Amino acid sequence: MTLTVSRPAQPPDAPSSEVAGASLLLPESPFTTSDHKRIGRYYIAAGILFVLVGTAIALLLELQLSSSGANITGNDYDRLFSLHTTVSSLLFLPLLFTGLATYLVPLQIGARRLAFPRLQALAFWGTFFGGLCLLGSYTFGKPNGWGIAYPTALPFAKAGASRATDLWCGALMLIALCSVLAAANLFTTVLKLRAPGMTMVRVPAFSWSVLAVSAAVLVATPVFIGGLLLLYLDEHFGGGLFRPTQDHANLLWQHFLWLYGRPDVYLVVVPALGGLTDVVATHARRPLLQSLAAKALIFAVAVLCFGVLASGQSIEKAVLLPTPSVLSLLVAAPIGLLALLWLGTIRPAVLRFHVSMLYVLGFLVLLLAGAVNGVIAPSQHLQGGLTGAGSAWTVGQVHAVLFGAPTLAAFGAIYHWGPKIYGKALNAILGVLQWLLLLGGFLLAALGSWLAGYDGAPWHVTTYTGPDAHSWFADARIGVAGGVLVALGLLVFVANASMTWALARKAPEDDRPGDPYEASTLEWATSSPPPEDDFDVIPDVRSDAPLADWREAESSPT
Amino acid sequence: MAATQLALPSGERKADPSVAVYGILALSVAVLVVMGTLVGAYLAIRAGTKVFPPNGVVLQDYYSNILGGTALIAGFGGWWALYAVRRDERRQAVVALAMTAFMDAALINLMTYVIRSSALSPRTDAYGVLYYAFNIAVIAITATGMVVALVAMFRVLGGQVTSGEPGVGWAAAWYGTVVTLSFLIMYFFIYDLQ
Amino acid sequence: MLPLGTKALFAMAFLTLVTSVAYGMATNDGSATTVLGFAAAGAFTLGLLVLFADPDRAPWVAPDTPLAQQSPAGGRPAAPSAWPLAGGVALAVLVVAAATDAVVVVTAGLLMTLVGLGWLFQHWSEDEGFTARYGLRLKERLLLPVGLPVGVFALVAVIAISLSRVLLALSDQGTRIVAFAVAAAIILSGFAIAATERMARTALLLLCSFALLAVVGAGVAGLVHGERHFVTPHTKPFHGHFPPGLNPTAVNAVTAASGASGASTTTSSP
Repeated sequence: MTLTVSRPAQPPDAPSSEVAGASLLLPESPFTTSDHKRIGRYYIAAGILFVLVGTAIALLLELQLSSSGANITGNDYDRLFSLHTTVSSLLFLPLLFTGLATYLVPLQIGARRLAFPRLQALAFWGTFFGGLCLLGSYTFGKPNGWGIAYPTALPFAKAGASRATDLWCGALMLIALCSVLAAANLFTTVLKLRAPGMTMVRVPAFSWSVLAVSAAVLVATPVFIGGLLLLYLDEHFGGGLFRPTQDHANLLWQHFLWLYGRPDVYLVVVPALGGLTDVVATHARRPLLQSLAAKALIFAVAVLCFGVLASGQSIEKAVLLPTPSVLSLLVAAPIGLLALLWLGTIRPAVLRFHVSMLYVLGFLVLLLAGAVNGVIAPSQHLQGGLTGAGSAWTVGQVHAVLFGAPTLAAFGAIYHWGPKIYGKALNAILGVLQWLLLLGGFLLAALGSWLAGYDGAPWHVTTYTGPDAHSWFADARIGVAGGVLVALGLLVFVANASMTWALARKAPEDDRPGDPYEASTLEWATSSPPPEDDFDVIPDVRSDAPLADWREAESSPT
Repeated sequence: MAATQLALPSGERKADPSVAVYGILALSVAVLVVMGTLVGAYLAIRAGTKVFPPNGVVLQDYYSNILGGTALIAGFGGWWALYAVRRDERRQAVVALAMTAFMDAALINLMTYVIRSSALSPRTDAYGVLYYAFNIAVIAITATGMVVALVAMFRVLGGQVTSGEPGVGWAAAWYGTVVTLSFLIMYFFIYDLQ
Repeated sequence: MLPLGTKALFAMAFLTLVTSVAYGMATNDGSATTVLGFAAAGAFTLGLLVLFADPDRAPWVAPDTPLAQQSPAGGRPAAPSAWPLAGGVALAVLVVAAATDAVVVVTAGLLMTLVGLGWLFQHWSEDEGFTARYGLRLKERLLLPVGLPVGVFALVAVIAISLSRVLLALSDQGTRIVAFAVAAAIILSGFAIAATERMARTALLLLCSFALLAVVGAGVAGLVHGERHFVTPHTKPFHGHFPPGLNPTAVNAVTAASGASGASTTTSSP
């Protein structure tokens, strides 16, 4: 059901497009678009592209760990590892969720566009070219340092680091700056462009989560930009701010990184939670249980991310030992409570089986696996003691909880909103196949690291040596298998999305329903895909389910 | 619930001109956090270094005071422009914004001169790195302030900013204040506290 | 009554402040405390923004008022624009400049200025008050009399300087080859364009833009590379005969004067 009505004719004295200099009006194209829907799709495509690079590198490194001997050693290993972590953490999930937010937020709040459409386009192109520069810094040169966490591991004897390191710093600054621009845009959009009657309480869960994460990004990411500026000047000119011998300077970098990095790593969970909340409410075919509490819990996750600062590896030496685990647990608490609200909302009798619900299940499975391992770990002899710092076990936790679960959530959201984004639902069979590959892949990848950790394996080594190395090789092979499955899952998505896009363009309009789910939120009140200006009209907003109200009013007898 | 009536749409809703103000203010938060990061670094290095600033570093009060005065005038110009916009005095608003942009340019010019003529360098020590980082950050922020002032000026010239739609005027006034605040933060820690 | 968003952001600010204070007391480390303090102030400011943005109250409607339809918020969608892409390219050039040379920084700055002006003008011209008549006046009074000559001059200067930097950076033979190649490319492109019956305006614009970017990029590369070493041929002193009527004394006086100022000419009297 859509509410599109015919547009009134243009008034005769409308401003002419033939104005001075504006006669160079360009046609709509991928390079000139300011349409938030196209930009959103580009963000998603760019995120997938970058993660394929990151995954390929991860497979290469894991393959090396699965047998004795090392072809990639020393600085080469460090750089590849750094590339994998940087690309995977900065250029995948943030781009995916920014793309979803760019596409959906104006539709969900009943707006025709973003607050600053061209700024979002600039943010996209800046991020894309920044990502290319980041990859280029590894391809055309040799950035120093083993990874973003320890930039001081390089000789400062002479001024002037390599050009590749400068490019790396500059690229990261550009990516961070563009994420701030995008966050400011999305924050202002939710703040100022809501439809009349849509109070904050009535904002859909996904848009609410975008507001939360945008606020956190506006506050956390500039710390990284400031730190990178100092790092660039220090590396380029050799002033010696971050010297290996200066403990306080090393701590300084840890703060700059983790005041951005810790919130950032947890922050990708926030839009995941918001998206899955909308998915559950739609396919459960009833309003979410305690929607206000759900919104509070979503924001609480964003708020508590700042408290997780102390979980940083070097920082934790300075605080009481239980603090990191207590703070991490605090972040898990609202997530757990939200999951309970989802379960309370679902009733088997009315639940619609949709492939996106499988991804909700997968998200919960990975979180549960991480939680179970978090309970088991203190009783095992992990490297680094109770915190697991320096143990391969931590790698497993990262892959399952901080990377795997939000990835499944992101794809669940894409499958749910697929009809709106692509004009046609993504193929369900391929969706199930992708789910199996991703869930199985992440579980196997994490299992390999968990088992290696329980066997006492360290993290971030070029190869395993020592008496227990043989069992660690076997564990690493499990991880390789998991990585291959994840890569295949991503490729299945690429195939599914391409095929769906091609088919949708040929499908007649009747085969592209605007509201295939009988949903409640405003994004379903327009055609699929929406027209350039999103809506012709929208219903009055008098609750958090305006479309459901409209449907009820239409069906009630006069 | 009563039956629906297909009421006529309420008419094309115009863009809210205050959107620009809130966007600028949201970005201003990010700008101030960047300055806060540099302040944190400064305090950390200062606490961990015995002699800070290093021996031989002399920061002239004259230059810092001139810079401070320039920054204050630039900040004031934005509010003057808003005052003029709200009274539909277009020429006054254009003059005020032009003055703001000019003062921002003067600030950048003088800061560049002070950096070049100082004996400090990011090659020599950590203090040099911090000094340059502060100055580069403030120069970049001031440059964006200049852009905002010029954009506002041209829009006032084009009659697009009026007392009925003063949004861009507010945006220019607030961002001018942010630029001044950024400089004053640097002034306090680099030139005053030392 | 505070809006929900304000409450949430104030809670973020409060927790960040508590973390800042607790962390400072536990570790005696000023940097994280300061940064977290600024972060708390930032979150508080965002909370104030939400508070003042709108009252966050739904308009009152009588319970039996029928549901109606309304126009969405946000105004017209933005027209297509190449300036965001150009801005992204300019920012990428700035990133590359961070790793290369100050000249590239200047190039990036100029590109960003160009993007800013273009963006501003397009946004300005799309305003409702910018009618065709106003645009025509602007075109006739400002753009054509001032902008056109300045723009053309600037374009010619950029092309000439860029080409000159390339030619100065190359070897003797390289210079000849490049000069010939550029001339041939211009002539052949001209032939191709003239021979094409219909060429889309966008295609022509794109072609010219790429060519200009290539020339400017090559010029910047040449500037960064630096000029080749020029060998000045050794000038021998003049030992010939002066033309009839030329006063050798006057010549000597002139020579002596120029010798006092440092010139190295020598003459010999006939």
